[in-house]
Amino acid sequence: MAAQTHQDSTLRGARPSIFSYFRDIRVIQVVLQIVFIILLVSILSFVFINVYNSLADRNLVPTFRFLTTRGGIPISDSPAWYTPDESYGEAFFVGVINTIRAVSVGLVGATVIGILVGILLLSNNWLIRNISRIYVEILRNTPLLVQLYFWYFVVFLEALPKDPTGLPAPGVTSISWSVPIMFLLIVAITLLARRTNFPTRMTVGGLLGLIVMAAVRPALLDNPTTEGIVTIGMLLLIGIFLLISFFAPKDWRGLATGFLAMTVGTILGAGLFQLFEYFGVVADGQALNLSVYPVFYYSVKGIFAPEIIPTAVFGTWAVFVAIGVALAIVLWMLAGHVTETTGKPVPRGTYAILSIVIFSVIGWGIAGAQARPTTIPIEGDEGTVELVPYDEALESGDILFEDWPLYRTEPVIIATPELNRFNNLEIGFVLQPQYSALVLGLIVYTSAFIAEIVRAGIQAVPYGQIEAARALGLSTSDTLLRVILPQALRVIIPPLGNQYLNLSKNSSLAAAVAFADTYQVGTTMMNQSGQSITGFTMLLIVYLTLSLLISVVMNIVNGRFQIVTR
Amino acid sequence: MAVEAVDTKKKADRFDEPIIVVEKINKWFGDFHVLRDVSLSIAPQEVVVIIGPSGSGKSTFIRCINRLEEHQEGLIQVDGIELSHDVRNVAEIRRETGMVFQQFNLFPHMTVQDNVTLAPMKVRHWSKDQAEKKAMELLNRVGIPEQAKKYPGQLSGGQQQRVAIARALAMEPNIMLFDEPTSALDPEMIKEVLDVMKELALSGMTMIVVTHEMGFAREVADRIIFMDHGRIVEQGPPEHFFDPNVEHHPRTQEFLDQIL
Repeated sequence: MAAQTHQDSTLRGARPSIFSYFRDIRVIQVVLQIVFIILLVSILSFVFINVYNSLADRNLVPTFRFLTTRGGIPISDSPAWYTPDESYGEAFFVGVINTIRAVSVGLVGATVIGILVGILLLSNNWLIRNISRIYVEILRNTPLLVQLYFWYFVVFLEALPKDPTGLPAPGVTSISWSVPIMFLLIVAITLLARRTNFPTRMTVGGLLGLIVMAAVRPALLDNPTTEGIVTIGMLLLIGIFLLISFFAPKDWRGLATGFLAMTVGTILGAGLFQLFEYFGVVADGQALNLSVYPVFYYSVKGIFAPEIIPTAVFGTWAVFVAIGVALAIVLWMLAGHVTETTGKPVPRGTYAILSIVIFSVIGWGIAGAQARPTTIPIEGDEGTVELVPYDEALESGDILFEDWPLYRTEPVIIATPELNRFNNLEIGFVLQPQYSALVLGLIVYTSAFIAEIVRAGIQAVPYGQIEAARALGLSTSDTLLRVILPQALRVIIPPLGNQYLNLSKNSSLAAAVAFADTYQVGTTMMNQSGQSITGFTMLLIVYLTLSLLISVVMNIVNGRFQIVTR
Repeated sequence: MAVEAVDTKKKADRFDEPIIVVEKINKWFGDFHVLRDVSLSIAPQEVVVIIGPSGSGKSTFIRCINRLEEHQEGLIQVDGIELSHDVRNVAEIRRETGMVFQQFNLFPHMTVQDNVTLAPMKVRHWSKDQAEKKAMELLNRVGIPEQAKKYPGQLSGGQQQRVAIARALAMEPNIMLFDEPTSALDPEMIKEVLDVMKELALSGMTMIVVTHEMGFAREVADRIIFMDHGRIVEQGPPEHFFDPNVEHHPRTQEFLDQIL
């Protein structure tokens, strides 16, 4: 009966004929694809031929040859070798470098701030939760372009002082001896405070404290009166942190304790050296000079930072540091193996850091002990060259700044920012306001989206997972690292990759704040040379490469966090 | 009016030194009074089964014992350690008590073996070899040694719950808490989990089990506790509970009528 029906149905089917081929679903698919490709190619070639002809009429046939001709594009934020006399190709290259500079810093910054805010969005504290909620809502609901304009025109061009203030005396300042002592004090206090239950948060708090102090102090310390005010202010800060560390909910106690440790350590160190100076143990000015930290200055001309310059003996030191790092990695792996086989927890982080520090210090000494020229040829007033002993030249200040790296005993010297008489930076490192505005704008805007992604990712981990980890007695950090994060990252990474792509593409809004990125240089190049097709092709290739690179990395990371099911 | 039955069980001699002491604990969820003056004392190796209608506070009660929930009034002492706000006490009690959940709560991103070895290695600082040896021993005990390298998502519900029991036992706890361990399982998988629990009870583990499995309660429990509206209404040995001739508290009678 069943067989009968089956036969009937085949009999009733269409008969094979010439046209039956075109009813075959496989044939239809192939034919449709061929038709589509023919259509596409003809439309594209029609457009291309038209554009080509119209460009050929104006003597503008697409070519890459113009790239080697003089571009005449001025770029303020460029490497030292670049001048407007360089070719179009080199100008474009500088633009690409600038894009990469902005995007890479932007990605890191947005990730760090995004994760932080994302965690704060889940805080039990009403105030913190709502402040972070407002941060996110304001930032993700206003256009990026508006925000960039705000950062550039309001913050960086209006809110900052017109001229850099409080710059120290010209010349190269090496770090005074008080700094390492202060550092040791800070470490000692931190180690003492580590006896509390919150070592990680405390370290973070300490670093934050150091950064805040480094940023705030030099700006205020340009005259003795403000110095007094700053000291009182810092004492007040200590009081506040003490109060917080005793009475705050435990989540914040660690942070405050670290902050406190840094502050107390710094002030004790500074005070100690004032005493040393008073009793003549150290020479005048050797004690706490007010720019003990790598100093930062800001004005509408940008953020000025010290320049770190490697000297002639840098290579020797670098070898020692490299050995220290290699040893640290070996120790880290060895300690991991020991923990795995015996179960004993080994403080491998401490060992690794110790190895790096010890080798760096030894290397610093050995590099400094290396032979170096004892005399310096210095041009006299009448054009004669005479050999002057190094120490003498150093004292008289005859030695040129450019020559410093040749004679110094330190592997690296830190040159504090110095201005010429036009108030432009001569020595030092500058973050121009255009760059700062773009990067800050991208970071802050993207961080709001990342914060939401992180919050959602953490909330996607069922509460039962946390309860199970707790019931097993796992510590808070093990619960976070072994149980919550691996599962949250599975949810976080794909949308995070999208935000990374957004940030890299949004960097083309740099033109709005006059930052010379790929897009800005590219359009200038197209306007001046008329080579629009070539120009757009180059832009396309740059952004495509950047995006694909990010996608590939994120896909690899994503693959590592997938969960196996049946 | 609680009906207290006289306990004449075989384990009477051990009852002088209780392993868990709960005195007059109270707990509120907002305005809702979940636990009302609950007091209980459990002897080592005793198997206590808690029954009661949903919302009676029985889950909340056993979750208070290892601080997954915080009680607001009263005293809880586990193995001589008082459950206070001191984080070290909480950590110590959690090391001594294993817990098995209704939803298994296995870590889905780790293999079965890693699920079992994680806590001993991180909390007890065992070596990997030692932890893995223990894990295989326990997986043998719960009858699924061949699944060690699989992920939880690849196992059936019953197998997952048995892994969860092995994971809790890996910490070598003195007390095991079971929070409705069979409620999320298909009927044919309930037995395999109950068998493991029976074996565990016979081996002398102190157990508190919240369950609706009356067969298990009758066979294994030393004591059954009936809770309603956050109170212990009635407690006694299984013979007492399941004897139709005994006069029960009206609320207990009502519950038993529905469930038996």
